[in-house]
Amino acid sequence: MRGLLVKDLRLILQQKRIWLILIIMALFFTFAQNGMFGLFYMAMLAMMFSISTVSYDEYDNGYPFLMTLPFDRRTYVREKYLFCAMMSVGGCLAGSIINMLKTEEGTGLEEKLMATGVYLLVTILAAAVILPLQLKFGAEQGRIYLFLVIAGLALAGGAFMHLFQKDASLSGALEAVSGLGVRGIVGCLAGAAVLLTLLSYCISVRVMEKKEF
Amino acid sequence: MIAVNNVKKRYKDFCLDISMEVKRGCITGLVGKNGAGKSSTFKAILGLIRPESGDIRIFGKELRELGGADKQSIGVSLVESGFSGELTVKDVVPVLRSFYRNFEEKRFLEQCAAFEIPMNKKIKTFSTGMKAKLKVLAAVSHKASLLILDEPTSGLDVMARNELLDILRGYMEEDEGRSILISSHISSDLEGLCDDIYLIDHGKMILHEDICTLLDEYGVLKAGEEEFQKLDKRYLLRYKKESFGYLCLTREKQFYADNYPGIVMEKGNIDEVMLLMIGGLPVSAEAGREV
Repeated sequence: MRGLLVKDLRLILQQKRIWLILIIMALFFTFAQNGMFGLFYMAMLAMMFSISTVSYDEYDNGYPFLMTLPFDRRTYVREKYLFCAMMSVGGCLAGSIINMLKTEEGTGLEEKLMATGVYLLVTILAAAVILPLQLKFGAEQGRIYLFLVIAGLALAGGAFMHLFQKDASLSGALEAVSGLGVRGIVGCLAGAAVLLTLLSYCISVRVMEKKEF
Repeated sequence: MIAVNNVKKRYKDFCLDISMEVKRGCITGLVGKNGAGKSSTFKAILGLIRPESGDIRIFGKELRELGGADKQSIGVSLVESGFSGELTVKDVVPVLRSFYRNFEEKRFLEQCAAFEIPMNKKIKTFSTGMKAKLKVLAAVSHKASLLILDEPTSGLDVMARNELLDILRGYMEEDEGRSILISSHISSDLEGLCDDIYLIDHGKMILHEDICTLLDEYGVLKAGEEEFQKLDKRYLLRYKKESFGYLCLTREKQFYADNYPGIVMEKGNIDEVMLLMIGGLPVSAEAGREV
């Protein structure tokens, strides 16, 4: 596992210049525009960078050799999730620090911390969707399937919203969710993130164990 | 070290059906033309593909039981796959250090310097030869007891090839219990290195022989039309029609030397044996009885 983490970290560090440009952009978004967007941008970016290591592993037929190194396929998947979580937390922290530097009217420290937590959960949820697709279909095809999944989720969301507006009982359910308060919703989101990540991990392990190189 | 028993893997237009063994303390070579199944054999042994039947054992363990700890004792070099091209050798060193508890960092760095492998350039900018050298140096860098090397000398000039083969000889001399499975399309590399050779064609092992036997007892006869008709064919393995007459492969070189003193005969070597075993015709039972 340590070897894989070192490899991925080294791969990420090879992109130092791109990182620098993106951090400057995050600073720009935070100070020139919305601080929360800068935070979200950093979190998503760190997650996407960590997932790009799957493409590096795959690129130029790298998988066959990689899979002969001393680890099993389950460990490979575990490392990808761990690395992704570490990078997402790192991105959120960096974005949060940048966000803290900016004083915005009406946005207190508690709200900023809450936003950091929510964005971290959203990032983890996104990674849980993207990782199995990348492992199963590779970088190129994975993007197409990701687009299909996002389109599917958007359609499902639209359909739900339509139903909420039409059906009074469903609108009541939405009010009940609102009644949970911010902490309650964040708690639900955290629960969903944990469950979805576990499900995603199990799918990814299955994908990798079945894969031939 | 490696035991492959009746392993079958079917592809759309190709079927791998192999049995082979790599003994402790031995260097076993695998030869065959392009597309014969060499790389598929390596992939099956390394668990990169899943055979439909048969079993593969490494260090006496079934492949699926082989864990990360066992893989510490295996060094691998594959012809079309290696470290990510985005990394530099300077990046590879801590990666190897983290993966292998017996990684000999100082020695690896010395060997990289000796082979003039750049430390700070991205691997994707390396020449084919440089990449090949790096792969082999990494494979021998962690005191593995088994090396699995698919075309390790591919893309190397004669000097670098000899240096690399010397490294492999040195690796074997360090510990008598070590073994190597190696493939190469440069037969002279294998003749000077291997203890035994497997010849694969169309996914099947068509010959397994000790290299000493192959070099000492195999011979290629060059016979004219009339000479060929008179030839005792009992000890011929394959023959091939050529413009001058026939090329015949035998495992009983001495028999023909004694009984046909005038016949042109060349010493067997991997290239000739491969050429005739794959491209030649088998001597039929009827022909075999002719004297």
